Amino acid sequence: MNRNTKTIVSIASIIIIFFVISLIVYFIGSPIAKSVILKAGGINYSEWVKHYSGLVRVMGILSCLLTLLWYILTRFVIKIVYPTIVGRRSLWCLIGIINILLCIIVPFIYSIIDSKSPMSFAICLLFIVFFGVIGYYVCSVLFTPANYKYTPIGAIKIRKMKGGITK
Amino acid sequence: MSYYFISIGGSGAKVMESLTHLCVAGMFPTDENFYVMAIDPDTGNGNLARSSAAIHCYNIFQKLEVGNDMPIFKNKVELANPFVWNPTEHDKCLDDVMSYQAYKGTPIGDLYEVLYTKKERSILLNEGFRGHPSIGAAVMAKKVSTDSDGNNEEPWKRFETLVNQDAKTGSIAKIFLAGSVFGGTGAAGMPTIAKLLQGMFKDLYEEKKVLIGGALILPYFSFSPDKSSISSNEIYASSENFLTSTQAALKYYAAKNKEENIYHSMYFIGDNVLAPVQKFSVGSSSQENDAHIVDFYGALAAIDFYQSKQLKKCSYITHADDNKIQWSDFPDIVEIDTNSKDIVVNIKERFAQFTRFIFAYVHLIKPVLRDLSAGKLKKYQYPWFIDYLENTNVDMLEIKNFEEYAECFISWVKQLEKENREIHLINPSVIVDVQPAKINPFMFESCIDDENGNITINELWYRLTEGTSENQYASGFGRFLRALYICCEKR
Repeated sequence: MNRNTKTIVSIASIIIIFFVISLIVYFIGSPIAKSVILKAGGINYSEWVKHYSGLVRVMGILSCLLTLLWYILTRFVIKIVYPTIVGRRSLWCLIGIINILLCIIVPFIYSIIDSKSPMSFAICLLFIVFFGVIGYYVCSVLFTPANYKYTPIGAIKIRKMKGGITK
Repeated sequence: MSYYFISIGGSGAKVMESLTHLCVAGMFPTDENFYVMAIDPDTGNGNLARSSAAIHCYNIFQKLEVGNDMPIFKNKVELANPFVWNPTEHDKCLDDVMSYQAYKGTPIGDLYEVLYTKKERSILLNEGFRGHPSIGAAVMAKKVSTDSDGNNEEPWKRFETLVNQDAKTGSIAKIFLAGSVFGGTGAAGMPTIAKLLQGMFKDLYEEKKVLIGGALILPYFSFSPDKSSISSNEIYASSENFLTSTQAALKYYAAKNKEENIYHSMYFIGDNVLAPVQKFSVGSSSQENDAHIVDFYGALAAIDFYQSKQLKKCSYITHADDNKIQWSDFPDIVEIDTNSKDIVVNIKERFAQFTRFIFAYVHLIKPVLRDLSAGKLKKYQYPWFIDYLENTNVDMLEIKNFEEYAECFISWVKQLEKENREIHLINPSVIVDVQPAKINPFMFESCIDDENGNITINELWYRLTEGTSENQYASGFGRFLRALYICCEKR
C-alpha cells in the first residue's frame, strides 16, 4: 500500500470507527438513561432519546475531529528537521485532555441549554470511555503516521503485539 | 576476478582516496575482493595519511552486514601488510642505497658521480624523492634487483600469492597503478613497479590472466616554495619543472610502448587549470594537498579498467564546458549481475544516493545515537532506534569506524569543490562545516547539483520509520544502514 492510499485508509478508518462508537454509545446510553435519569421523573423517554442522539452525534464529530487533528498535524504539518526536536507527546496528551474535557463539558452544556435533556455523570463517563479512550486513544495508537508512531503512550507494546516492528 | 590497486607516491594516494569512496559507494562492477597497497618512501606523508584514513576505516566496518542485494560495502577490502611499502630504509640516502663507498674511485663510481649531484646523493630519503624521479628510479630499480632472486618480502609475498590463486581458479587479476608522471615517487615508480609486476607474473601476463592498468597523473597543481623555511642544502620539488618533467615522461612512455607493452591500459589525466597549493611542504606530515577532481577521474579510470571487457591501450575523456565540470562529464558505470549481464548504472544517481546516505547519518543519527543507547533521550521519539537498534551495542568498533569514515567522505566531497574550478557535483552550501561534519538540513533536498530533489530531512525520517524491505543477510547495525540507504533513493 503506498503512502497516499495508507493516508486515505487511515482517515477513513478513523471516521468509520467513530461512527461505530457513536452507534454503540447511543445504544448503551439509552438503558443508562432509563435507569438513572428517568428515575428523577418528569422526563419523556422518547423525547430524551431524540435529544440524546443529537448529543452523541455532536460528541462523536468533535472527538473524531480532534483525532483527525492529531493525525493531520503529524502527517502533514509538523516536520522534522533537527534530530533533537522530535518529541510531540505533550501535544498528543493535550489533544487527549481536550477530548476528555469535552466529554464532560458538552453534555452539561447540552443539558443547560435544553432542560428536556438532563444528563448525569454516567453519560460523561460513557463518553470518556468510548470517545476518549477507545476512540481517541486506540485510533491514535493504531493510525498515527510512522514518523510519530510510538508517541502515544503504550504504542510500542501494542504495535509490537500487532507485529508492527520489523525484527 | 579480483581487483588490485597500488598507489605510488602522494598523487597515487589521493587517487586511492577517491577510489575508496567509490568502492564503499558500490561503484565497482562486481562484488570481488579488493586488495590495496601503497608505495611511498615518505611513509609519514600527510597526503598518504589522510588518503588512507578512509580505507583503513572501511577495512574495519566492512564487516557490517547490509545484505547481499546492496551495492554499498559489496567489495571486501584487504589491505597490504605492511600497508605502505617503502623501497628505502630509514635514514638512508642514495649513496647508501647504491653502496657508493664500494664503487668510489672506480669507473662505475665516477659515472655515478656524473649522473647525480652531491646534494642528490646525500639527501636523506625519509621524505621521498623530492620531485627527482632520477633518484626514485635508481632506488626502485636497485630494490627490485635485490628481490629478483624470488625471496620477496611482504607485502609482495602475499600479493603474489593472491594473484596466483586467482589464476588457479581461472580468474583474471586486474592490477591498477596510480601515480604522477611529474613528481618524484610516482614518476619513478609507475614504469618500475609495472615492470616488476610483469616480471613477477611473467607467464600469467603473457596469457592475459594478469592485466595491468595505470592512471598516469599529469600536472594539476602548482606551488611556490617558501624559501625561508628551506635550508640551502635541501632539494625539493619545483612546480616550474612539472611540465618539462611531464613532457620527458610522456616521451619515455611513447618510446617504451613501441619496444614493449607493460601497461595493458593507460589513462592520462591532468588539468589545464593548476590549483594553487596553499601551504608548501618538502614532505612528511605537512605535505597534504586537498582532494582534486583529477583524483576523482583517476578513480573512475580504475573502475573503467576493472569493468572493461576489452583492453583499451589509451583512453581519453573530455568535459563539455571549458569552465566547469558537472555530472554529465563522467562516464556511467557498468555492473555485472549474477547472470553475468551488464547493467548500466547512472553514476550521478548512485553517488547521489550514497551522499544523501552519509549526510543523513551525520545529521540525523550520529548526534543522538549514543545518548539514545545510554537512555538519556526518550526512545519513543526515535522510532527507527526502536525498530532497528535497541539491542545493538553502538560502541562497537565498526560503528565508530563508520562514523569516522563519514567524516572523511564529507571532508573529501567538500575539498573537491575548488574555488578556482567550477565543480558542480554537490551543492557546496549543504556542508556547513567539516571535522566534525555539519550539514544544513534545509539544503538537504538540493544537496546534489542540478537536481530538484524531493527528499527532505522530514521525508527521509518518514521513510525510515515506515520500514523498508528486508534481507535475510542483513543484521545488526548493518540492517539499519541498509534501511537508511534504501530511504535515500530518489523515487
